[in-house]
Amino acid sequence: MTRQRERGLCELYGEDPERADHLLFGREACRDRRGFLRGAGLAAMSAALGAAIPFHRNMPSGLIPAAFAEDKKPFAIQGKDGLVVLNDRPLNAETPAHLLDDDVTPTHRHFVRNNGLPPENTSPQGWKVKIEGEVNQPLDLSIDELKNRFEVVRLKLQLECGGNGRAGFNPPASGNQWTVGAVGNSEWTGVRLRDVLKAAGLKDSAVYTGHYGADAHLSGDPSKVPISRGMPIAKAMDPHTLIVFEQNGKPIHPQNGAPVRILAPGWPGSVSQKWLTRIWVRDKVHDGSKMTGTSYRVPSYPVAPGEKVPTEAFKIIEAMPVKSVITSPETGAALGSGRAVEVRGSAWVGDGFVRAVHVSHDFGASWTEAELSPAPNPFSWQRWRANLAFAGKGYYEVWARATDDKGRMQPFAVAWNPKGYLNNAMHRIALRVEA
Amino acid sequence: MTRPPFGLRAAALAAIAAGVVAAAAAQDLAAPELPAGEGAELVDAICSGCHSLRLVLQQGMSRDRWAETIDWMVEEQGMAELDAETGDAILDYLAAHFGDEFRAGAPSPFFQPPPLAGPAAK
Repeated sequence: MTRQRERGLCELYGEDPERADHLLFGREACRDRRGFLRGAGLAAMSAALGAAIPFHRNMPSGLIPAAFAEDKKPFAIQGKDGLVVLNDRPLNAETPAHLLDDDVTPTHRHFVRNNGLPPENTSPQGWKVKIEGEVNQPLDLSIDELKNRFEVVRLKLQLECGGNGRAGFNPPASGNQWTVGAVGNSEWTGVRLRDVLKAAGLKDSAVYTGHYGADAHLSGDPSKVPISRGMPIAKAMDPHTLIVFEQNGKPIHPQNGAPVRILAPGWPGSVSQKWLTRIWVRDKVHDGSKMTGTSYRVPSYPVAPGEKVPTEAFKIIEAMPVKSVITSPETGAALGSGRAVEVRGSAWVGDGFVRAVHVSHDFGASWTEAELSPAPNPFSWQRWRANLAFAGKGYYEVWARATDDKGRMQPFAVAWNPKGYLNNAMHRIALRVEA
Repeated sequence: MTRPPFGLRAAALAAIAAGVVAAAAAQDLAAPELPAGEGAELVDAICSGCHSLRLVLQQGMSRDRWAETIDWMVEEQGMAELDAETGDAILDYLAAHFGDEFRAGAPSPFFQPPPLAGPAAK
């Protein structure tokens, strides 16, 4: 336990143990001085301890559970390499730009975004996915059944967190302060959600999907869902929206939603429910956890930085805007004897395709068109490269600007919104030419 | 799968299905420490019940927005309600140390929002 936390707990408990219990766990002392945990408090303490507490009624009020010792092991996410951890509980980690330098994002470099606590058991054995609601024939499918009943496809698909780039907001927006690395483009194997929904038979009343997974709420309250978003039927029926069970030809990483998840490419990653257990086809816009209020919503009109916006004026984010990232060289690199360098990166857009990428190394005064590869399939990101030559030594910035097929470019500055979503301003790296 | 030993940190680790290994090539996460100040220990103890303090350390909000955030946690995320005195102490600390001043560390520090004419937007 950190000294600070130890001091804090001891101070709180020293002053008034019953108040401390109440504050931390909602625990009220019974008349016989034994602590009685109310439902949510018991769940919270159980979650914090990682176990149920069979004898909670006997636990004296005011006792700090002995198990609250923080161990000091260095933190690593097994199967991930080089990710920058923003938060460990819930676990959120992004990929530095220079580690996104592959056409297809390897599993160990794909970012991790969690709203709650992943399930402990992510074995495909016995795992089922229910399809129910506004369907003629509800389904309850094992992963083998998905593979056997429906055509299996393999697609390289962009997946980006709606809050990627939030760190660029001023005044700051609340939430995980992603910089540029909450994006990946792995190859995913699965079946088309469209085929599964057709097998279930959509009723005319079907309007939206609602997704559910096996993750648990941070509070430990089993009645609370950490995240449950969905999409309009049109997006669900797009042939590139999949139920996937392999990532880069192998089982999905447990932190990326094993054994089966949705992959709705080009829309905020939160639509792509991890550890998928159920799709509820609904006759109205889904209103699950983090689907309502201002979650994954932006104002329906442009606002000034810091402006207060009424909740009714927000609209749900759908396709992600055009964006790019410079993956080589790494920002801060010094070019040795030469004054030329190949700059590489990726570009993507949530609907359509990227038509052009331009780079500048004089703060936007002049632009060079990059060589842009076509997408291997719709909704994959596209790789680009350009050769830059520098006139002399000094400090330079390389900026990259993608333009999509509708002529929309990345902006220079952040279009501020209260929750810090959709920052697709240009990526900038710094280079030093030494001689 | 065997469980790692009990512990507050272990609860988070246990939830990572594949298990956690102290790997050499990983980022070393220092235990999160809040800046010293009145209310720091209170914030440390109360605000790490559900989520890591690292979430707090990332934020920058006005006192009002912190209050809204805490209200949201109480109303929708199962947090126990704070009494007025504790709430004030926590809000004072958060507003003082995690306020919404301009952040130099953001990816585009170059682009400050231009000053607005007229009443302040906040």
